[in-house]
This record gives sequence, structure tokens and C-alpha cells, in this order.
Amino acid sequence: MQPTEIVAFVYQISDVFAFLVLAAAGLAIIFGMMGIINMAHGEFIAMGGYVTTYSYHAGAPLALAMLIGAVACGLFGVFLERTIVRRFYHRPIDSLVATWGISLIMTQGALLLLGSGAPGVGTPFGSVSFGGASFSVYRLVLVVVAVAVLVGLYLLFMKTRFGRHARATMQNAAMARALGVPVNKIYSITFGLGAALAGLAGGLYAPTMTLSPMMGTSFVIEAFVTVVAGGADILIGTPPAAVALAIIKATATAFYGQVYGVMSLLVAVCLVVRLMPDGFTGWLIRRRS
Amino acid sequence: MRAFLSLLNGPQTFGSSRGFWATAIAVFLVALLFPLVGDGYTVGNLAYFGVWVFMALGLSLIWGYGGMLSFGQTAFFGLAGYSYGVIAINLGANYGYPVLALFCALVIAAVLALVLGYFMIYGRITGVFVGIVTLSVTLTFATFLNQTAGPEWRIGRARLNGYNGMTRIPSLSIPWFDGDKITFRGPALYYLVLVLLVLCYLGLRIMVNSRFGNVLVAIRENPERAELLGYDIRRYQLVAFVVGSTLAGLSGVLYTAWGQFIVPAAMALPAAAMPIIWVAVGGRKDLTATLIGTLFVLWLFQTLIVISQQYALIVIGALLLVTILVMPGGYIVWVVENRDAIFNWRRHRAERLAESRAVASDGASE
Amino acid sequence: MGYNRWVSQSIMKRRRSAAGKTGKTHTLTEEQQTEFYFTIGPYSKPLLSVNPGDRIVVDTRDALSGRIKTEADKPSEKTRLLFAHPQNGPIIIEGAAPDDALAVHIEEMLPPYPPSFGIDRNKICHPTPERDHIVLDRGSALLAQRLLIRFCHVAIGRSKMTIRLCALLTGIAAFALSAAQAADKPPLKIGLLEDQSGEIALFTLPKVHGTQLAVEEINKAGGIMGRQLELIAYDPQFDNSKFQEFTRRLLDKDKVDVLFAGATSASREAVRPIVDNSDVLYFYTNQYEGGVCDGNMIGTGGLPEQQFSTLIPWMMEKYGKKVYIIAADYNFGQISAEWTRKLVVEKGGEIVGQELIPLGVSQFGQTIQNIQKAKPDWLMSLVVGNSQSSFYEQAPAAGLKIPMGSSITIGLGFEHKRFKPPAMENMHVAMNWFEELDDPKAKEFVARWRAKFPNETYINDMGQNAYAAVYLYKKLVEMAGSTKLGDIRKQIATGKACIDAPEGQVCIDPKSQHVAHRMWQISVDAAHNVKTERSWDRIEPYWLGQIGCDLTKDDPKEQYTPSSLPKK
Repeated sequence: MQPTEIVAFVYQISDVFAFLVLAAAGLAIIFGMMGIINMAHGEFIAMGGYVTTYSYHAGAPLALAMLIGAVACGLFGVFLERTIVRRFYHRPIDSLVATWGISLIMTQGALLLLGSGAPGVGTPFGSVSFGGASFSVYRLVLVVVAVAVLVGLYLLFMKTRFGRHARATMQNAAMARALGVPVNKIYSITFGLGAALAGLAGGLYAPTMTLSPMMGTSFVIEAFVTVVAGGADILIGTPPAAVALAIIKATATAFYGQVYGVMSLLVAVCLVVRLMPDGFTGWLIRRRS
Repeated sequence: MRAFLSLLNGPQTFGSSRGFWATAIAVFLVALLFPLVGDGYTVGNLAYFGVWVFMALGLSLIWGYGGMLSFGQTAFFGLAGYSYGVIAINLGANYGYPVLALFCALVIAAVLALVLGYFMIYGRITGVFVGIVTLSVTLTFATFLNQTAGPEWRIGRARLNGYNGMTRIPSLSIPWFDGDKITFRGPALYYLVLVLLVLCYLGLRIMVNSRFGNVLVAIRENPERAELLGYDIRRYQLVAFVVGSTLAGLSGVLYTAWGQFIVPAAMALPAAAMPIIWVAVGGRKDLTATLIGTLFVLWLFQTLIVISQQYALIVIGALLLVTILVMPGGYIVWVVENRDAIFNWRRHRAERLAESRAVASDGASE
Repeated sequence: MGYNRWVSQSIMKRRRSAAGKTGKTHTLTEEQQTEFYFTIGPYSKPLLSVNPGDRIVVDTRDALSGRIKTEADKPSEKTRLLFAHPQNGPIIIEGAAPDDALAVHIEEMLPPYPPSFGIDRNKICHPTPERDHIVLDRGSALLAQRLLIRFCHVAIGRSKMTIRLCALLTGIAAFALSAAQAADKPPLKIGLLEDQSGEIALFTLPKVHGTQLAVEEINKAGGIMGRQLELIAYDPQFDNSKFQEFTRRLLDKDKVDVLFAGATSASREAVRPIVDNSDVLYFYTNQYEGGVCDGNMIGTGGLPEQQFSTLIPWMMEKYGKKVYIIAADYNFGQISAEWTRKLVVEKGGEIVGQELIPLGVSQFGQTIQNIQKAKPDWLMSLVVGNSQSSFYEQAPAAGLKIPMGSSITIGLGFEHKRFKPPAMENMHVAMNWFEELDDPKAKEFVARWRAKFPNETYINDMGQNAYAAVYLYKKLVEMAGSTKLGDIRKQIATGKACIDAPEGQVCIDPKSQHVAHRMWQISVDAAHNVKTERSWDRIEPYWLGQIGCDLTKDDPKEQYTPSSLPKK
């Protein structure tokens, strides 16, 4: 392959990697901490997109608008956790159903209140050319942001007291509670954090997409696949999972077209669940020991 | 045979009393005679509702009795529907071929359920992951079928036709005397659905009240304990999965035969959630509760849309949320389990009052 | 219609100096009239001069010149009774001399709309002795609130109608009474099944509005053959099984006379088998991939042969012969891509690449790169759905600036209103309708629509099609004199079922029961302004007839595609 082709291919992989990481981060944290699959994840992403867009149109600079979107989703997530989600920690399957109900209400409610479309934001930063192909600079920025999110989460979970408490709760909630860790508060904050990350993803991708209450659905499949492949620990499992899946998807799309790109992910999740039920986390942990 | 039939009543199903069965028979008779008095539209509408109940009963078996939340019901619904369509279009509408198509479609659904079930259950996939894998499989099929619009996607004479769906599928029909045939539309379909429903319901009752059902419920309650007691839980789960998924396939075939049309969107996300809503509201733990609950939610949804259009989905979502919060077992299940407390609440309150007075007077006299 | 026959046999018609021909049509508006006279005589100057056989459309005033506006107004205070019954005119007839007989044929008499003062259209029917207590509806002037005069369809000669024309009856003008029949006739039920919520509601809500607007207008004008229209609508929420459920409900329970349903082809195919088992007429009013040959159905949307055979030659001439296609990977996208390939190759061009994109995909990094690598002259973009339309945002952001053609953007998806400029720059589309059409009839329609629905984001093609389809149905029923499917199909077979829609004239093609359209081609600039480039007066839906579908002869109820033709 020529250098331009290699560069282009690396760009595609990074692009998909960023998408997977940003789409999955919120879901992974909630799943890792509480074992709950949040079926309303897509709706949080859409909510982030909407809040960002409206803030931007109200005059906020784009970066600030995205932050506002993330924070709004985070607060809403905390609210949901306090009222509804916390009743389901002992029954994970029911939590799936409950979050599904929330998702239905949010989607339909958004549809009713906001209509099914809104004026978009427009992608910032323009493009850069390299050897006959041009690339959107903004998407490169997204790759940087995705890496920054992973680094930020690492620092949060490894270097802060909250992080220590959170990891303790993940490992053994009863023990952590016995040792004085405010477990309920940790759960609330974690759910809020997961929702905020979803909102951030929505805000980040809103300038590149059509805004609609259903826009979250185009993230959901990728997010699920990444979380399942990554396993319970977002720090150990998600990055390698995202890289692996990005390579698979980018290759499939480049050589066989978009259809096979999408299906490759779905097939991958089935294989992962069969061969590596604990995802990359389990595999890496077993290898380490 | 007597022993067999005695399994109709048992610990895993509600309604064992004479009163229950008398009511059930009365309801059945009313249903039997209804087409003579009801108008064409209502008869057709009831038949349409009935078509979906099989899928709900299947999910009740897998989730309510087996403890596995499967999102795959709609996948088997769709696959069986497409199989029926392919076979019926190729063989034609005469000589009872559609009935053969129905059986073949059910067999195909069962085989696929066996493969997927084996993959999952013998791979020790449990809990939420069952939901995830079945959801992924469902979405894979839907995505794949969506792009089969090209002319090269055909099986024999039947084009899969992608997103727009397969059309011109013959209705169910059986050959009758004088070279004629009965086509199952309108009242004929209503009776067919009614008979099938009764058979499946009774059959499932016998199944869950048998030894098999007891073990299944034990696995639901605590898989480890069941294994420690010596049962190979994978076999029981697999059987439940296959039976439940085949019932979903039956729904799929009947739906396809009714509308002469099947489309990948029948397997997509919103559709995949509906069986869960039906089953959750009535009560997944019990077949009768599921049956009544499903019919009720179907009727409710239709009425809501007629009345309030866009709010229907919000109400349904809220119903699901409230149900799973407050009555995770389902409303009908709750009523039945607490019927003593509900119907005799006055007596119980008087008893409690008397008791507390007795205690107080005891205390006072000391 | 008896009086028409009488008129055509009368001396008036047979022996008039205009020799049976109708001449020019003049108007006499209030501005032209300036001042009204209250008596006939030589005191006024002629305002208008006409020839025998001419026709005059006159704006008249009510008897009291509109001075009485509420029940509180006292005629003794507000009016000067000598100055009542304002007259229009005078109108001079060239060549008229003493001893001639002047024959006046009143063609039509219509109350003003919107009602300002005078009589409300909806409410006038039986002439009554209390005619002077003219009745009105809310918001209009009235003399007495309690009485209702019903406006009737009356033949001259039978009329006891004494609504004063207050016009000088020397004109050879024509006003006929074409009002609602006596309200004993049952309403005509219109079944409407379009998404009002759900994924594509943004695009299908204009269909609901268009139908509502048409129904309201037709009802105000007296309904169809004197029967008012009753609109029964359900919201299937983008769920095909709901389409089936509610079609059955509309047909079996509500017993509608006609059905308008479905935006996507999938929903149409869900509805068709059910409608085909009945004898109800079904209008499918969306542009689609074409090919449905079904006697129960009339397709009024744009078709590939109409959209591509107009757009592609122009694009090739203007931009070049190398074309790249991206299309949604399902029936509509694949068939449209096929049409594009066919036409490009026919005109000597080359397809340098084609990509089919699954529905729901929203990330186009690889696709954009592929396009850049192939270096086409222009791009045919057939992406469908909210997710896929993200392409229009991502392409320019990646620096891909290339002319684009499409058969669904702008006019159907109004991306130019939803995306930030200049995402849709250099997009060219050929369709039968755009809201921005530079045509007086179109503009007037748009004004009426926005008066009723001021918050409409965009009046897209399916909205206009839905509106026009109701009028098409009205025309068919009036032509046939009945609502039975068989009678209506006989009228379609004559080839004369045409109406003047806001887009232009549309006619139903007898062989395919699809519609010949006026086609318009537009382009979009960097500021997302829409410019009309060209228009074609009448493009027939020729393809179905060409491949052998002839609904005047038989009714296969099939859908054909270029790769699935009828068996010969």
C-alpha cells in the first residue's frame, strides 16, 4: 500500500475508534459499576446532542455548549438514578426492562415536544488535505478527545479518592459499605457520570449529524458491542476492545462496504460472548495472572 | 392419559379450582359463538390480537418460567414468517401447501432456536448477556434482511425484497371437498387462532406442571442449587428456549398468513420490545396471567392510538416503567397471589384489630 | 345538472349573436368599480365595454354595503335607505341597439371567501321568507343571529333564491349557483393513515396538513357532489403492523370511501394486500421507486422516469460524464441507483463507483474517502433517513465539494432548512414540487397553506401531493358521478382525469394509474437559496406502460422492477 493509503487507513481506524470509545464510555461505566445495561443510553446521547445544539443557537460557543450538554445529561442521570434505577440493583434483568421503559418515554416525549428535527450546528474547523484525499479536521479532534476521555477516566479512577471508593464498590460493594464508603452516593455519581459521558458523545457528534430524537440509535449498537467486548472494567477492557473492533470494522468497510462493516460488529459480539464471556477484561486479567 | 390431563392443574399455574375451569369453559364458549353475533371488523381484530399471544406465551415460558430474558422472540417471529413466505410462494396456494409451509416454517424456527440456544446456553451465557446476545442476533437478521432488496436475493420464486418486505404471500388454506378450499381469513382465521390458542395454552400448562416444569422453575430460582441437586440445567433451559422460540415462530407464521406480508422491521428494535411489555404487565410467572395481560395491552395500545395518537407510546412506556417498579411480577399475578388479602381485607383488618386489643388487654391486666 | 341541458337548447344559446362561442373573460373588481351607483339611469359613466359572448366576473356588495356588522348595529343609524342595493357597472355591450334582446346567462354565484361580511358559504341552503335576516357564522357580520338560510344548488327557473346580486344585469356575465346541496346527504368518508409521530413524522406531517387543508377547502366550496367530506385519521407511528391494523379498521369498521395512506414503500406494501381484498380506492401519494401495477391504487408521487430522465442529462451536460452513486441499501435506493446507471450509460457516461449504505448508518468517513479517490464529475446521492443524511454534513466538512444530484433531497427532505449552510451547496434536484417554485399558482397555494399552518417548517412534495390527491379524488368522483371503484376506473381509462394542482396540471395515466407531472428542476446555492432552473410541462409515467402493465385491460396487482419484469 502506498503511504497515502496507509495514512488514510489509519485515519479511518482512528475515526472508528473515537466513535466506539465515545459511544461506549458512558455505558461501560454504568455496566462496570452496577451491572446494569442502560437501555436509555441512546436517548442520553440524543439529549446531549439537543442540549448542545440549543445552547449553541442560544449563543454559547461550541465547546461550552458541549459541556453544558454533558452536565445537563449528568444531572438528569443522577435524578433518574435516585428515583428509579436504584431500585433495580438486585434485579439486573428488570433493570433492562425499566431503562427500556425510560427510553420509550424519552424518545416519544422528545418527539412530541421537539418535533423530529432541528436545525443543525455545522461542523467546525474545515478540512486538511493529504495526497489527494482530504480529511475533516474536526474528526481528528474527536480522536484526540476520545483519548483524552480515556486518560481522564484513568486519572479519575486511579488517582482520586472518589476513584478509589468507586473501584472498591465495583469489587465488593458490601465490604466497601462496611468500611464506610458511601456506596449509594457512589452509585448516583457513577450513573450521572455515565449519563454525562453519553451526553458528551451526543454533543461531540451533533455537529456532524442530523439532529433527531432517534439519533442515539445509530450509536447504540456500536456502544453495546464495545461494552460487551470490553468487559466489566472500563480501564482495562474498553480501550483494547475499541481498538480491535475499530480495526475489524474499518477493514470490513474499506474492502467490502458499509453493510459488512455493520454486520461484522454484530457477528463479533456473538463470538466474543461465546469465546470471551468476560470480554477483554477477563482475558487480560487471566493472562496477567 | 388421566395422569397427563391431571397436570393441567399444578403448582406452577394459577387457577386450579372448579370455579376457574368453569369460567374458562364459559369464556371459551363465548369466544366460539362470538362470530355469530359480532361484526366482521371485531372478529378480524380479535383474530389479529390472538396471533400475537403465542409469542407472549413463549416468552412467558422462557423468561417467566425459565428465568432467561430473551430478546430473540421477534427474530424467530420474523424468520418463521419469512420461511413460510418463501415456501408458500414457491409451492403455491393449493393442495394445502400453505399448511405444509406452516409446519416447515415451525421446524426451521425450532432448528434455529436449537442452534442459537446451544451456542448460548452450553456456552454458559447467563443473565443480561442472554438479552444482549439475542438482541444482537435479532438486529443482525434485521440488518441483513434489510439489504436483500436486489433481484439476486431470492429463494426459488420468492424474492426477499429487503426493506420493503416480501409480499403476495398466500394465506393459509386447506383443501376441502369438491375441489374447493377454505382460506383462513376473517371468521375462519378466528377459529383457527382460537383452536391453536387453546391447544397451546393447555399444552403449556401440562408442560410447566410436569416434572420438567418444576425443574425449570427451580433453575429460575437458583441455577447453582439446581445443578448441585444433579440436574443438567443446560438441557432444561435449552428445551424451554426452543419451545418458547417456536411459539414465537407460530405467531410469525400466522401474522404473515394474515397480512400476506412480512418485513424486516418486524424484527427491529421497537418491535423486539413489545413482547416484553405484554408479558411484564400481566405477569410473566404464569401462563394465564400472560394470556390475559397480552390481550389487554394489545387492546389498550390500539385504543390509545385511536384516541390520542402520539401519546400512546409514552403511555405504554410509562406503563412498563410503573409496572416493573411497583409490580415487577405483573398486575394479574399480584392480584391472584394476594387475592386472599384483597378480598378479605375487611376480615383481616378486624382480625388484626381484635388481636391488638387482645394484646393490649393482656398487657393492661399485667 | 338539468338546467345546463335546458340552457344549451334555449334560443338564448342557439340564436345569440356570439354564435355560441364564449369570448373574453373580463373582471370587474371593487377597485375598478371605485364608486357604486344605486339607480339605473343615464347618470353614470360606463366602466367596462364587452362584446357579445364575453364573460364577466363581478365582485358584488351586499345590499347594505356592509354597513351592518353586528346585531347591535341599527339600520336606522348605520344606513341611509335611499342608498341601498349598490350596483356594479355600468357595462356597455358593443353592438347593442334598441329593440335587441339581451340574454344573460348566470354561470356561477359564489359568496366571498374568507367571509368578510355577507353570507357564510357553509350555511346557506333553503330560500326562506326571512331572507332579509341574513345569517352568518362567527366572526362575520350579521343581521340576526337566530336564523339560518341554507345556500342551495339551484337551477335558474327553479330558483326562489333572492339573494340580491346588486349588479347591473346587462353584462353577459355568468354567475351560476354552485353551492352545497341540501344537507340531507351523508358525508363522504376519507381515510388517512400517515405518521404523525415516530421516525419520519417530520416529513409526513405535511401530508396530514395538506389533506386537512384540501378537505377544509372542498367542504367550504360545498363538498363533493353536495356531500361534505369527513376525515378519519389514525397515526401508525412508522409501524407496518399498525398500518395493517388501522387499514383494516378504516375499511371494515369506519367504512371509508377512499384511503390515503403510507409514505414508505414498505408501508404501502403492507396496506395494499388489504385494500386489494376490498373495493376501496387507495391513493399512494409519495414519490417512490415505481412499478406498482394495481387497479385499486393510484400513485400520485414522482417516479424514476420522471425524476431521473430530466435531471441526469442536464447534470451530465453541465458537469461531466463521470458519476459516483451512493444509495441507501434497500429497494428504493437500489432501484434508483439502477435507473441512474442505466441513464448515465445511455448518454455515454461512466459510473466510476457505487456504494450501497445500510439504513441507520451515520458515519461516512470511508465513503467520503472512496469518492475522493474515484474523482467523479458529480455525485448522485440517494441516501435516505435522518442517520444517512448526516452525509451532507460530513462531506463538506471533510473538504468534499462536488456537485450533487438527487431525487429526494430539498423537495422531500428539506435539508436546506435543517442543515447549516453551505452543506447543501451545489445540490440539484428534479421533482414535481418545491415550496420555492417561482409560479403564481404555487405561491398562492403556499400562502393559503401557511395561513392555516404558520409553523410548518417546509411544504414538501408529499404535502403538496396529498393536497392535490384529494382534489384528484374529487374530480374522479364528479366525473364518474359515483364513488364506486369500477365507475372511477372507467373514468381513469378515458385519460381525461386531470386537475390543476399547485405544481401545474396533473393527469392520471390510464395504463398505470400513476400521474403525469409537471416537473421542476432546482439548484441550491451556498446560502441555501433555491433557484428554479427549468421546468417540463408534462412528463408521463411511461415506464409501466412500456413494460406491459395496462390496467385498462387487466389487473395483476403486482410491483415490477427493472430486474423483475412481468412475464410475457
